[in-house]
Amino acid sequence: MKNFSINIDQDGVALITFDVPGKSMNVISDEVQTEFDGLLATLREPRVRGAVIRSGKAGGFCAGADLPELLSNMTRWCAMQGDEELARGVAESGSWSRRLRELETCGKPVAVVIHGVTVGGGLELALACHYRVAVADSKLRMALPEVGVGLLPGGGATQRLPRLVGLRRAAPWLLEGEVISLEDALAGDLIHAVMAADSALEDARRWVLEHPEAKAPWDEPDYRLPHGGPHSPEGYRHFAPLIAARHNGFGSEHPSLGNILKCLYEGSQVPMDAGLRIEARYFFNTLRKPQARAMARTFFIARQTLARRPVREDLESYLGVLQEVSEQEQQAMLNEGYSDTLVASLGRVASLPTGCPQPVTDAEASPADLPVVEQLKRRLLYAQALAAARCLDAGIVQDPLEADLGAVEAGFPAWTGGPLGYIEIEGLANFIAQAQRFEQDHGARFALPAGLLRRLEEGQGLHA
Amino acid sequence: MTTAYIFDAVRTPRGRGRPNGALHEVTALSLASQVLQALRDRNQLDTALVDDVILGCVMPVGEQGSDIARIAALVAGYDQQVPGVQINRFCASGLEACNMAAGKVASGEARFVIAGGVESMSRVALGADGGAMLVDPSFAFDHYYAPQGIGADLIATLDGFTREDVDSYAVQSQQRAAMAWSEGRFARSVVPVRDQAGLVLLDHDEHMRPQTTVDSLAALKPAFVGLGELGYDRLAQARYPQAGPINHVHHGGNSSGVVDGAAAVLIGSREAGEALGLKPRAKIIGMASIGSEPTIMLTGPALVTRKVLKKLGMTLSDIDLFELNEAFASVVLRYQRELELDPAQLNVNGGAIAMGHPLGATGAMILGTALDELERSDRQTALINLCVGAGMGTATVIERV
Repeated sequence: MKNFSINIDQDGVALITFDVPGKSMNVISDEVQTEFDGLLATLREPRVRGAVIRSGKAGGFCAGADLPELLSNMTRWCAMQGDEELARGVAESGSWSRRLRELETCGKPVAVVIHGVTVGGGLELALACHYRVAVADSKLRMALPEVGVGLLPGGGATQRLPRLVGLRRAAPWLLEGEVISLEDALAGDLIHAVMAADSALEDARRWVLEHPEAKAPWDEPDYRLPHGGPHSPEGYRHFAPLIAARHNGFGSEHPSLGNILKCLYEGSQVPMDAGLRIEARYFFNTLRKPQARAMARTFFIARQTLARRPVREDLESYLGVLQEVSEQEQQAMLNEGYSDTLVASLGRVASLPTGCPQPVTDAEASPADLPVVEQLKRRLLYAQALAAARCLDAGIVQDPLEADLGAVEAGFPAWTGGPLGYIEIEGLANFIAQAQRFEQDHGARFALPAGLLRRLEEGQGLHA
Repeated sequence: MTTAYIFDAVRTPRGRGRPNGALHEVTALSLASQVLQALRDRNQLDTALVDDVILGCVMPVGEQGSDIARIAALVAGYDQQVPGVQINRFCASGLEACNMAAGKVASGEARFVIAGGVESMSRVALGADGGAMLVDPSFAFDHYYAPQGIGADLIATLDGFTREDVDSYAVQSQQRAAMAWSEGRFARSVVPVRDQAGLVLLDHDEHMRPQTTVDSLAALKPAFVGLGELGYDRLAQARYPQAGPINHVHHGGNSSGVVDGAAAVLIGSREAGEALGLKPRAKIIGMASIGSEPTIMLTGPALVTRKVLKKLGMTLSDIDLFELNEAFASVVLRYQRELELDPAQLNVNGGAIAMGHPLGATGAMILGTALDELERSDRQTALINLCVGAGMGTATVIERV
């Protein structure tokens, strides 16, 4: 094993050290997953009475999934078709969750010592253990940041957290990626004890020896979801507005927000194993969405890649073009008679922040039913996406990653992963066809940049 | 197809839907069986000829659960052969029951059907039946669910109805209802509710406040501000970006009242009526339901009105009287404006703002109200309709014979 070392002491406690070679932080790659099966096999050996898992990294326990690897897997899963392939995809993408459940139900006590960065799939590993000790003063950072990159925690967090603290308290951790405070973690049994590094290990070892029959609370026969499920008085009072409130932030276009809510709602009403199966299906569903790919690329890959570059592009003129185009389009909508309120709202949800277009008083008011509103929103996004593609053609911006990250950081809607990401979400061919319709209706400002057409002809993506 | 006729319609008076309401002391089952008995007794109906009892009930849990229609028929002393079915199309359940009854008669399945509804809102609380609509994200998140009070305020916001507009409508409802009661316009339909000893418990609509003025309503605080702040305002604006900030204008005084009550309508074929010597009062000439945008939820009435008239080859001018359930003042104001109706043709005897809205029963109640009014004012046609939860509308067109 490259990523784990195992040391079985005289009492039969396996000390497992998670330490991915050549990296400053542990991540969960396909290789880590395969080796995890080896750990499970060791745990099953009769001479082993239990295990303590810890990290060999100074910075923390584990940062979660190996996202570049996950992204390339996503491309593969996205292309899958037919029941057989899809079933294989669900099994593959759900493998971390399945391994963690095996750990949790192996029949032997497993404790974990966490410190520093303990996020995403790393936190999910800790949650699948029976006893969790945090190292004091270790800059502990527990969070599930998946939602921020368009993904959902697919390693059981949508099931274990509500089963620990109830739906209402778990919601902001899962739906906003809110950092879990040590105080909340202790109150909710996400962490059982906090102590200095050397005593933490000994405490975990002792706990393992003293609890030979360890089980997760939800595997006890008398287990009840804290504060009741969604169809309880508490659920109606709190879960319903909790759903509504999520339209304030990302909104329903976000690739994983709705799916996380569905994991909470559906998973909390069934036994743990069924809940995990439900989560795995929604995880797979999310991973296949182009929005998830666009967001993960921009909010993770672009951010990481660009942070390593000594020199970043100057995006001022690029962003200026986007703003100008958006403002021009909003003005056109006002001139067509759409109300100030509508255009201002569209500007907020579908554009970089712009100056206020001039109110138009003499235009005849145009009625706006929902399909019209949707089409206006789309038109505003298209105007900016086309501008971004033109800037790329003209060299006003060089790197598509810069173009996307720069735009979303300046306020372009996050769920698109950026204006170029939006083109990919629409699908290049579909985007071009729709842009041509806009060009017919609204003129040359929707004309297609040559580069886009060339990419279509050459079968290339924008980020290829 | 056989034509479905209306032979009679009865309703209970509406009691305040609270523990201090007069009808709180009787069960929903008792309310339902009392209207069934009244309909039987005053028509000397051989109940063995009733092929079904269809009752609307919107909170069919607790004492209103387990198919209250069948249980009520048995408790009312109907022939054992009379089956019963409870249905739920939210606020239009009572009217939908009538439409289904007409369908059963038209198809030849039934000779007589009794249609109606029951709701004891003081005993089975609003929301007691739960449901996916509120909490399942597959609907609530993906389709922007908002409670109906938010939809009502959203209509006011989009249409620019002010607080004074909706309050003025509420005052009109109170005045019309008071006048209708004082002139005895409901006398034919209202049957008093009797208590366990057989004494009259309530013989008038208890929720009314005839002294209401626009000034007195001005003192009431808008009811849905809190819901809006929970996130529903932002959700409504996300769905309707043209709306701007939601103008919360509705409160208890310009929304339908929470009340207890039941209603029943005797529907059958001409032949069935003739066999018993019953004279039909009207025929059901058209019926329809439709879905509408669910977030705003309450805009089905104009759509279903157009749908049913188109089906009948009729126009708005062919209808003498319009009855639209007063769920919220803005619902009626939008209907009136969108269809350009003369206010003198719409809800002429007031409605649920004044008298209350016993959810499952209201549709059958206002069908009876419209029928009574056609006879009183000697007019021919009425269109009865309601806005419905989750974005629907249900309508019935009747014509006197």
